Amino acid sequence: MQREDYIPRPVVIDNIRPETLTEKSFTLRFTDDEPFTFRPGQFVEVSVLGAGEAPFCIASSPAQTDAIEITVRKYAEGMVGSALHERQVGDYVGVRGPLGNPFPLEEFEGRDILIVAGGIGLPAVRACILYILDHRDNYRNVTLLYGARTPADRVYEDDLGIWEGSPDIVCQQTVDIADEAGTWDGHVGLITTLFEPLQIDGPQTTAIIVGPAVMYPFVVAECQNKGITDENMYFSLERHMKCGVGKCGHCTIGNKYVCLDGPVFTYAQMRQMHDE
Amino acid sequence: MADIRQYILPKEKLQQAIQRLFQLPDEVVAPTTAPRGDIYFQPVNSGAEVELDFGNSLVSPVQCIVPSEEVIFEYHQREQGPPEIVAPPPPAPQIILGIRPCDVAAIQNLDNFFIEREPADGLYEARRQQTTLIALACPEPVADTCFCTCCEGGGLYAREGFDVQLSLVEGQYLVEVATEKGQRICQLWDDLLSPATQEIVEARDAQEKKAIYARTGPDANLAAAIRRITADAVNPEIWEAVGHDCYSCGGCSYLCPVCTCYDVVDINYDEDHGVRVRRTDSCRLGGFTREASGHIPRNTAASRARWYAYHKLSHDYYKQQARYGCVGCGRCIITCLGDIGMPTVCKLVRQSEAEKVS
Amino acid sequence: MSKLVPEVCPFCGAGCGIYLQHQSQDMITLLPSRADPISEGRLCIRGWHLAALVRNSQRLCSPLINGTAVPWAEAVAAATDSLRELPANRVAILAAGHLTNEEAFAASYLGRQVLGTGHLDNFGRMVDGPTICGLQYSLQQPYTRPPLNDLINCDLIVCLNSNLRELNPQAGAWVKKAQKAGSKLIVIDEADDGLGADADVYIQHAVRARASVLEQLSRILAGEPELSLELAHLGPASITEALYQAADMINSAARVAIVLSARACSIPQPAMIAGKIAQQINTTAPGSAQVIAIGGTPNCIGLIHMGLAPRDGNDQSPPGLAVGEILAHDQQDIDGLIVIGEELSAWLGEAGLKALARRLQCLIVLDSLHTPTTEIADIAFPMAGFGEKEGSFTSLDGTLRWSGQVVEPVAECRYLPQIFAEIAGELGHQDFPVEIDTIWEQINQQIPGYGDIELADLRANRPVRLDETTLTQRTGPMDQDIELPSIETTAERPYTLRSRYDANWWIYDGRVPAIPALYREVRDLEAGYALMNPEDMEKERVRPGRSAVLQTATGGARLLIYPLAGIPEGIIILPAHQLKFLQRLLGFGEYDKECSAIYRAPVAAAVKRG
Ligand code: SF4
Ligand code: SF4
Ligand code: SF4
Ligand code: FES
Repeated sequence: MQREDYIPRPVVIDNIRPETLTEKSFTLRFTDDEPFTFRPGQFVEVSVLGAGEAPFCIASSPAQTDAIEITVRKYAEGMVGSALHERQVGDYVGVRGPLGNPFPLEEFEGRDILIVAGGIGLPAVRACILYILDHRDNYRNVTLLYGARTPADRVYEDDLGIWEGSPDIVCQQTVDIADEAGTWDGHVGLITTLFEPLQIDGPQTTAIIVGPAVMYPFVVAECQNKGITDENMYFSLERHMKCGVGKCGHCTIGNKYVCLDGPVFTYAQMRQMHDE
Repeated sequence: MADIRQYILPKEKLQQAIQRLFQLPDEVVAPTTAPRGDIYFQPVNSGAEVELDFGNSLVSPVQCIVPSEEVIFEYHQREQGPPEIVAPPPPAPQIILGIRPCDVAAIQNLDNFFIEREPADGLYEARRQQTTLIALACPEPVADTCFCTCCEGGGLYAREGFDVQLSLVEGQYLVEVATEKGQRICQLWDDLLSPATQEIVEARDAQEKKAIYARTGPDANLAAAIRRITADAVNPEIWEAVGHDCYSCGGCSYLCPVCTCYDVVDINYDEDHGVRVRRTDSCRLGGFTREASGHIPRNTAASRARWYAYHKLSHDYYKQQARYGCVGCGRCIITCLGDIGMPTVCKLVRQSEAEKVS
Repeated sequence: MSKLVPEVCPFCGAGCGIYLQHQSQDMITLLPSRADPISEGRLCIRGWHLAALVRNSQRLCSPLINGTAVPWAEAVAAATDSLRELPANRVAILAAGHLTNEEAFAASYLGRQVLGTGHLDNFGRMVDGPTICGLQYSLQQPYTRPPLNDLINCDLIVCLNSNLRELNPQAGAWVKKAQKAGSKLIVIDEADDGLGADADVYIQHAVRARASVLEQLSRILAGEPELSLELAHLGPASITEALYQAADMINSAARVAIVLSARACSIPQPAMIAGKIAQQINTTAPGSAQVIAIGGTPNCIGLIHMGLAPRDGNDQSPPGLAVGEILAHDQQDIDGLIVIGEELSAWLGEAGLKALARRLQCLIVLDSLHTPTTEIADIAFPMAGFGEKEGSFTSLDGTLRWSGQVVEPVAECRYLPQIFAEIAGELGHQDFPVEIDTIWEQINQQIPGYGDIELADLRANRPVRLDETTLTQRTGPMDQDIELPSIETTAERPYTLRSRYDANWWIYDGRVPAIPALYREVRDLEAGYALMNPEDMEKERVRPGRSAVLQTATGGARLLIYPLAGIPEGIIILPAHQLKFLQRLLGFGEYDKECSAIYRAPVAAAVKRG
């Protein structure tokens, strides 16, 4: 790595799409002519000069090489997220990456894929979904389970609509709480309630699970119920990542650097991690 | 050790040898006395400023390669177009004179972590390449906090990792040259050196053995602690106890020459101009693992104490970095508000074993 | 790369020694100092992050008028215009406790010589005042703290707050060192924040009963009759038993240190009784006991010496208002306020700060950081911060310690005396002292106790001590009865206040009842701690040990209420700065009963044996 590798590439904000009250999606276009290639599951460090750098999953399709899409939640404590929310189309920010290990989607070829996404986890698997749909023939059944807290908390609603109508993917959504207006006519209940009726060929299935940490133990139990092995459950972990290159030490869990050894881990690996 | 060349430098010629270093374009960093009387490694301009009769400096000279704060780039936002980003100038060559064997070992650790372990860190690599190490071996443990001899590969003189090493044996300096960078230094001293004898080399080993035998410093017995920690067979109460004594000040890791964690922050000088810097961070601080959502995975002093020991002393990390994370310099003993330096923790960990057995 | 510049950590009264060094590109490195006798290479988290204080994104970089950046000249003109309009006695200056002596001298010079006001005060007094005031009273002399490292020579430490490790970490480290060297530890506190678990005897008393517990200990040591448990609200009898054990330990110890953190004490009683206990021990075994109070601010005492206090023993100017009064929400006498280095919303709350800004005709703020106070100020000046200026702190141990300058002030920041000189110049005072040398010439001439101090010694980091004899002379009479014209007995409330003016710098305002004197009266009457007479308590339904919250100008204060049997009037023991509070109480006892504290009963005395 060069000394310059900590310097972000300039990108211009091409489009901003509000997703929910606290989340916005940004299209970031590279202004140098170099193509940006990545694999689903990788992340980038996004710089807002003056506010700092923060990691975001790439939500766009790996087929696109001149721009990426990220979804940003605004947290009270997150300086970069808040700063991004204040930026306008046409503003410049910076990108470093792609970083981290992707989902080994080639290894999943010929298998059933079950994608479980909770809340803001959907952007992290969107690149996967788009990749799989692009290479649909290589995979058998593809199922997406998506759970949000309320209908208004759902991100990428347009995509969800498309996938629901697509023959290529079984897409099921649920919300923990239906909104008062009564416009939600879908399933209500925790994401685990979507598992019950699912017909899954457990040993033949690879699960991709991304969501808040509280969701994991329950989803793991459901997956195990369905016969999915620990080696075939893939997670993308959130950690406080600074450098993204295994040096700053912030993202460690046990003997793993999430930024370098992950963020994608199998459940089998996670069980071995030796930490709090 | 085959390719280490050994010479003798008479003690009275040392000043002369040091003075010649200033003929090189390199900046010479050496132990000097600060106004309050402490010793720190500082750039010097003449041999007179150098103080080689010292224990070890509280701040490791490793900071010449990993500064506590360094600029990654400077930025100027512009009305139009992308911001202008300026990388700092490349580092200038430097010679660290008088670095102790424990700190040499620490640099080997850092080399493994920052360079060998992919991806290499460009900022570190650039500085490291420009650095020449002239080590100063210890005739005996130089402070009552030293426990390098309890550490893996540690000893009163460095076996590897230096460019030049000076060991005071029986009134003269044994000069060892291990690298091309070292060769460059020795050329300056050509007329001062004579070939080393087998006797002086053996005398040094005897001197070291004697010192180890007689030593009274902290008893760390790292090996036993490593076994316990790797096996995760430490009674959680030990970590609670260490956590109780820990003030979460971060001092131990700020001063530890092996610790590498850093934070990245932007400092705005005004609305459109500032710098992005990285500065040493500490895993002992409460907010170290805070995620954007506010969740803090290691939120107790006990969990951080456990992590610190685990990172330094478990075989899991040894596998990745090819060294254990403690070289026995003793700085964490000195700086700890709670009096729980590495040897104390190791002792508690060993006692935990004893209790479990009984 | 600059040379290593010795500094003193400005975050608390422990005064850890460090070095700062200027690397390239505005990078500042911090180096702990092992040769510094107080810190010995240890620092707390605040100290470790000092370098980040010098350069960070929160720095105030240019003058502001109503929150908007303006050129210097404009800000100076605006400041002088508003100051010129105000009558002298309607302007006040308030300074933070971390100013250097030199800055404080300049601020006090501006106030007294240029603006002609006596309303000068500092916030260090709010933090450290009650403790120091209490000690000075019971010790009957200016309090000089033994150096922290003296703890190592003690064989018994009595620590009056268990959160010492949090408030003054370096002191916590010394306690641990002393323990390791064989000292025993007694901790007396209402809750254990860490130290209690390490103690040989830990006495956990009822909430806010610290003074009573100490008084009990004092009585046990003196062989006087014990306070009745109920009256003093001590808690179960086991507490008194533990106190007997503590007294035994004290009696058999050769050297005892009583340690307390000023930050933990917002009332003077604990310190007062601590001082009394130390004296009791010293009467039987002279020189064997000492009180080590660690200040919450680095220079509170120096600021007072330099004249940033409403009444200076030597000063002829009229007595001024104290910080609590100046900030009081109904203060009618102040129209202009200059605040230096303090974030007022920390004291007043956001709403209080807004109200203050509305009430004042002119609020001028000098700070090195952007704060809500600089935002709301009419005029704000960016001030040179730590490391960007040189200067001295007067430590509570009577030494002066120097912090050097390591970098030039960032952006448009300027050294405080320079800012004031510009304002003074516009107001027709051309000879305002700006250079450190000039300031020291004047300090040497004008400030009692500082006459012989050589600036060169300070700069060279040679040990410099205040001349104690001059200091003592300066203290003046400790007891002086004064009349309290504004606080009178009323028919409804038969409270009479007897107060004494105490000319030492801690209790300076004649109208503030000199608390120690009150304490004395309580003691003379041998009736323990009492704040209200029992009948009134009955009438007001105040239970012993309850606290009533009284709305004060500074946001409300708690008053702990004890019955005082056998005397006709209630006696109120208050920290020096709570005059308003007192007035209310005397006026009509407007305490807010709804807010009265919940009395928690968990009371225990843990005695570790063996
Ligand atoms: S852990 Fe302590 S003794 Fe070991 S290398 Fe680090 S500072 Fe030195
Ligand atoms: S130096 Fe000691 S007190 Fe400070 S973080 Fe390290 S272990 Fe804790
Ligand atoms: S203990 Fe006090 S003086 Fe020492 S580093 Fe901490 S805040 Fe600064
Ligand atoms: S983010 Fe820096 S080590 Fe992983």
